[in-house]
Amino acid sequence: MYAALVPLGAAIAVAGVIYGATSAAAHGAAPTIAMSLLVFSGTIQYATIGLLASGAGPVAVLLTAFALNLRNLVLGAVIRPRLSDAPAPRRAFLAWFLVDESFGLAMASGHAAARMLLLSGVVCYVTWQVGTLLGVIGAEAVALEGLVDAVFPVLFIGLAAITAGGRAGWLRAVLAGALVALLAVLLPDVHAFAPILAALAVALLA
Amino acid sequence: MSWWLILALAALTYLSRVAALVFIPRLPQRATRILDRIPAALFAGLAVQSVVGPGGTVADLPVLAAAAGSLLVAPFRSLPLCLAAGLGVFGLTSLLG
Repeated sequence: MYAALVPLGAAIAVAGVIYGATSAAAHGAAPTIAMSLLVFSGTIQYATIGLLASGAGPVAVLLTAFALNLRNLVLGAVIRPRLSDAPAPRRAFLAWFLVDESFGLAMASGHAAARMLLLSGVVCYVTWQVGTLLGVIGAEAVALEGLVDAVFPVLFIGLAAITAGGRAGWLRAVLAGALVALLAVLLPDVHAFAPILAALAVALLA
Repeated sequence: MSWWLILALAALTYLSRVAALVFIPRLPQRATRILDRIPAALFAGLAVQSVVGPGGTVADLPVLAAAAGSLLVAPFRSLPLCLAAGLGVFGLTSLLG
């Protein structure tokens, strides 16, 4: 499982470079770096610069962030039983590192969930900062732009693979994927929430 | 981008992370079993969301090929392998295309 940390860090850094370059061009270096240091969420940070670029105001940005962050409640609830040995202050510290990628690795690591959440979370945090900084100081983001489109589906497929468990898990993953595709076509307005809705639906039905 | 917006986003995001980990009491066994079914389904949904946009628009061919390459090795349950296969196929397809 530890071998996954290197490519994971590289993938996060690539995404960080794109974010850093794009955001710094529009908002300057200091706010861009501060966002990565304090928010530490690719989803929220990409959504924010996209919304601001399209003319949205701060209220729209905050409402969108609120909606996107609902996913964290589910991630936290899922991993909470695996952290029951950790006292509340330690869980509050670990919460800082709860992102999709660290969650996936922690879930796949079984009894070592707390250690893997921390380790992979630190890797994600550090590489996200390094990537952001490289983007801000002018790394060649254009060359990486195509790559970042491929990194996320590939990364999520890998995380699905390591958390699927048995045949039922694979089946639920396929069902959830199909449901998200269907929702994208039939209800494009719920696109942002489609994965969590689909995951909850198959978890309850299966 | 104002500084208060950055701070508000930071607070909102951290609160969403800490809420379930710290404030939600321990859940009953049945709820835990249901929650355990979520991760793979969620990641599969996120993968599909990355290649199928609103209205059914699909990603470019190299990105789709990357996803297919990653899917091919998914049964091996190795994140490095999925990343290597997917990005390898992406590189090849981009070069050829």
